Amino acid sequence: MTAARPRRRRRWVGAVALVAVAVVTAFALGMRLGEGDAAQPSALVGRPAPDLRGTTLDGAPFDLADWRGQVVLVNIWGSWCGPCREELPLLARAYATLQERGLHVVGIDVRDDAPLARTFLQEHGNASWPSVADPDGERAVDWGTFALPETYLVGPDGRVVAKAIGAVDARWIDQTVVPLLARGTP
Amino acid sequence: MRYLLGPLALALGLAASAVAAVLWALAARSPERFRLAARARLGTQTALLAAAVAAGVMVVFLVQHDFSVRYVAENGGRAVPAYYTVISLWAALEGSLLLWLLVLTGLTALAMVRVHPRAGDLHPWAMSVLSGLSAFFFGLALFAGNAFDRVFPVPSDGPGPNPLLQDHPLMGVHPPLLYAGYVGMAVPFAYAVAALVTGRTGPAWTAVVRAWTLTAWTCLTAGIVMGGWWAYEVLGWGGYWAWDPVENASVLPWFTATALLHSIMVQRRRATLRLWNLTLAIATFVLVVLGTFLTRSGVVESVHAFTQSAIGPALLAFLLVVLLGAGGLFLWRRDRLGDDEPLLAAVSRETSFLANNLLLAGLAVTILVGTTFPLLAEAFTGDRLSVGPPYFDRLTVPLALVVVLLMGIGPLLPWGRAEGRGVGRRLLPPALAGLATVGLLGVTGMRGVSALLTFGLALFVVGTTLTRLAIDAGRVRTVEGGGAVRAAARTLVRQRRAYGGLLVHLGFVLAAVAVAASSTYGASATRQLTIGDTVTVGGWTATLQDVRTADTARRSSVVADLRLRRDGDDEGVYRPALSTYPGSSQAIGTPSVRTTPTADAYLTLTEVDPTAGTATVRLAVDPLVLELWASAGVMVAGAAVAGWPRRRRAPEPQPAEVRAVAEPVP
Amino acid sequence: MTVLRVTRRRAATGVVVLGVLAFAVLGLIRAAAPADTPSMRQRVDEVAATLRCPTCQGLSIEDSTSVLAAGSRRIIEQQLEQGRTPDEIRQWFVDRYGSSVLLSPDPAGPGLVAWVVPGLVLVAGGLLVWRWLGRDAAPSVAPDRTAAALAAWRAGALDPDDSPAGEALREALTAADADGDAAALARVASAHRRYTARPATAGQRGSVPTRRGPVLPRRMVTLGAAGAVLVAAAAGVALGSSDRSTGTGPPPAAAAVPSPPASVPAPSPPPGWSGGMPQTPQNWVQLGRAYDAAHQPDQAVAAYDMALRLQPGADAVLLMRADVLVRSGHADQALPDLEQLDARHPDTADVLLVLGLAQRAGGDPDAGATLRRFLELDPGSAAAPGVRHLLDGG
Repeated sequence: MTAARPRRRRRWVGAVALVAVAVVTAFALGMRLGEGDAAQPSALVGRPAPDLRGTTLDGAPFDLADWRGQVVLVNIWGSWCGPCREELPLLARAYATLQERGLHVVGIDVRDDAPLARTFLQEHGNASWPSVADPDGERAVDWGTFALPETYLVGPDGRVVAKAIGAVDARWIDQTVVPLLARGTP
Repeated sequence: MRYLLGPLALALGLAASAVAAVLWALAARSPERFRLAARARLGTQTALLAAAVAAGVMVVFLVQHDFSVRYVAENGGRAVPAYYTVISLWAALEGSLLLWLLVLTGLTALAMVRVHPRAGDLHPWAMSVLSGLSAFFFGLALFAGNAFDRVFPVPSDGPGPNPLLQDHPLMGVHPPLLYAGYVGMAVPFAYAVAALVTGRTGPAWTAVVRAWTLTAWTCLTAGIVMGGWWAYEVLGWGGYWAWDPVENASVLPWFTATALLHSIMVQRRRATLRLWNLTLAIATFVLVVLGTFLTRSGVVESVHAFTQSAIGPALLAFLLVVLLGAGGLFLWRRDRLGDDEPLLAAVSRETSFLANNLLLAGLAVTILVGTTFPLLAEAFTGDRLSVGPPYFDRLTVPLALVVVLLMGIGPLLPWGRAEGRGVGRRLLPPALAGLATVGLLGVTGMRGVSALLTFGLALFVVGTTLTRLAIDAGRVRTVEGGGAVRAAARTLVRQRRAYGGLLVHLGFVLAAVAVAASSTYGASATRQLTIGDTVTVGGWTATLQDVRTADTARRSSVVADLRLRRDGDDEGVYRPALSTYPGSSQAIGTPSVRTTPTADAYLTLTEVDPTAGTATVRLAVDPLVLELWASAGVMVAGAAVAGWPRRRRAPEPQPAEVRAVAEPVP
Repeated sequence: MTVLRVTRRRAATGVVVLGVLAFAVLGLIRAAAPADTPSMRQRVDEVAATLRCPTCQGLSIEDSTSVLAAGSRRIIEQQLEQGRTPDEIRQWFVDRYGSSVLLSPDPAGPGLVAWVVPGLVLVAGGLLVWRWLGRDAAPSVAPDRTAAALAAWRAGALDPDDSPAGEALREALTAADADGDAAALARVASAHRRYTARPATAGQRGSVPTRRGPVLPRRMVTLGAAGAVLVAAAAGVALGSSDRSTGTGPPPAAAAVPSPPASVPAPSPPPGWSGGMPQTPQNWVQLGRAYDAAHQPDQAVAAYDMALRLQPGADAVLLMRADVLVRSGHADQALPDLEQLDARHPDTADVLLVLGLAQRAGGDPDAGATLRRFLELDPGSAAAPGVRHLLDGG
């Protein structure tokens, strides 16, 4: 009687609330479905690049600050990393073509043996850019690396412009790196 | 031609289940039910046959290394041993769907034959729902599952299943057991829907559901613990539970099923809590499907998560349909959900069950929130957040401790109304024992507040269980005479259900103690060793004796031989390894574990150099891990004792069964 | 039992209960107190447990063995040594990896929802249960039970269950609803009588027999239980981080252990060292050996110094200390000790070896003689070939 009706109304409200929650949840989950394996945007994009100071594989000192004002690709790699093997020739070709337009490249060699690393560089593309040794992985962590290989594009103002997760491909270089060079100093 | 056999079987199963679903529904309503039911039975049996054929065909393809089938090309390998080849049926998404179908149709057939005498017209409606579920999953396997797709050009060899799945024979037991538990929850769900449709939400439904829920719960518990065991023995990070989204998904139905098991006991004694029990039964299955969705759609990253395919959206749609359908049924039948007998508003066993349900629901909600929060946060704010062990540990441990407390109090509370003094007097000695334990352990220097509380509560639960046994045995002795032991034995036999349940409680408490000990008092050390070097943790030492390569046809490994000693006593040589499989570039670590009743010594390799003879070895010593696996055995044994079928008394004359046919369904 | 005896017994029980409770609380406080200053490794682990390893799925930096996790742990250690707080370190990682690197959502942001929702649900559920328990029973039936029952049935307030009595009542009510003749109403009356006459409590088998006594006050118990749950939850959340500690058993025997001199800052233990702070000379020696193996000669020497302080006159330790100094290029510091050792233990191969190497490093012309005497005494030693090579090379 009178006690029953408020209970019924309460049940209606409860039911509608449940349905609403279900629909909203489903919508949210469904939206995420469409993305698939979306690459995680780097937290560093738009911020000043971290320092990179150390000794290269050839024993020379290196400081990224010396290259302030240039367009730099910072490539995180290791001789034990499978996809790096495929990436290196592409990177070497890109460097060969774009070097005269002002592109600089430096590598961060993670947890590697210097002789092994040098052999790797020679075998897979004859890379002629310096690579800073990072035996403990600390520099890679400083740059926010998730996995190898990753490449960061640092603009002339010293800020990180973009990040490639996984091996770089020609499309990324064309679309992201080249426009910067056209603007930069020849 | 033979490549059509699989899809044909699936199509046949789809048709048979769909037809059976319709026929069973008609049989429930029509006076001609026996003839229709016979036809529907045929449909259910055909569906089972179809699922068996589909799974069998896939296994044959796998064993024959027929790489023209895409699933075999992606998951088979010539170098894989026969056992792992057969169980790679459930190594990936499409194949595990076939296993799911096999279990579902099998359970449907079992539900068809094992009819509870009080079921009446609940049975055909439940069969209709189960057949409908089978039809949906057959459709999923046929259209979205793509298990039997062909591949051109045909590769000569395959990568084999994920290396982690080839490492341990337990991989052959854990998924089928887990699926039996998961899919088993579909039967209480089907009966709950049947109860709502027929309006018979009373004792008949609870009588039927109890046995099914108990069996499925047992399988689910065993499956979950076994999964933890597999993670511990295979994955190599030294733990058994990572609050992985898939692990969380598998454990959510467990909470609601446990709650259902308990509050059904209340409904059988008082005609109350109907809405709650029906909700629990339906929610358990909804969580099963939600867990399936989370696992198979790739929505959350996980060690288990399978790649994305069309299955995700289909499951999501299915979930919505089930939710809305159940909600609609509840609304329709809301007048049948009122309770005619209110629970006395006093402290009693019923209210302790209510409190227990509330806590279990709270635990389930916590885990659900933690698991889905990253998705929702990203959908709404675009921020990628993550929720990991610190969150879950902080929130679930206190709740679990209160549940254990209730486990101790509950058995000593009477049904009806609790008289304060009597209950208090009985609870006092175990409570004092528990508190004294906490004090003693803390004062002697053991660390960890929650660990100490766990130990104290464990003692409390054991104490109250023994008190209960003593009281019941005392009564038997008073009435029948005889010795104490004989009286106790008689009590245990006569009240199997209750004491089986209490044994399950003890098993759970053992698990809690083991988890508390191994997570609070574990210690580890990592060291780079040359041959002859030693790494030490507590009283355990591991000395590197040799580093060598061991290559077999299916993988190349580097093994370190380590001599383990405990307080000077030799424990043997243990061989953790790092292996690479031809299909993947990453090295998989295989741990080596020395298990003793007091502690486990867990050895892993992180880096190894056979030419230089060095290895970076991690030695972890965790106490009481063996007890965690043993507790699963105790819980299963307790459930078996509780569920052991009794000698059936002559069934009460049930006019309801005949009436259900004659009465028009309102 | 007289009232006085009962009261006394109750008082005694109360005292015992309070005593045990106090004991338990004391034990908990002791357990919750942080261990003697956590080692650097423990502090690193504490921070690492709250950060997600970037390469692995779902593992924390503490648990993961990947390369980047090891590098992250080293960074955490360096930052802790620089004096940064765990929150600052976490922010450093968030700046580079985004907020998904935190393993538990930051309570300051949208993560607050995750922390609060479970508690809210529990409280809301508790309130609902409370209200449901306290609601009125089914409307009682007036003396004219037939008409009242029928009216209740028509209004939907009377719902018989599935027991035989209930089914009979339902049947009778349906029939009476359809055609309300006297016979149908009589049937309703008898069915209703049968229905309400069922025993209130069904099945007391196996339960504890109830005895006379005051009923437990529901409100107090429920509120107390709710309070206990809240307190437990709050305590769990607050103390969560203090549980992660290693070490069990009674604290080490209280020997008078001299603390390291204030001038030497507390060093971080070498990798693989799990023993904590050494207490005995033997432990200090082990620590020294560990530092030596980890190529940290300064720390090794300090450790050997501590051992010597505890056990002066341990010449073996003195020799090891001198060995480390010689190998690390501080042979001049070792020479006085070595000469004393040679005086105390003449013609001892090990002493001669180290002494000879020290003399050689210092350009002492006696070095060759010393080393040759070593070779005479112990030609089969592992170091002999190296020494011969040195002598031949000049």
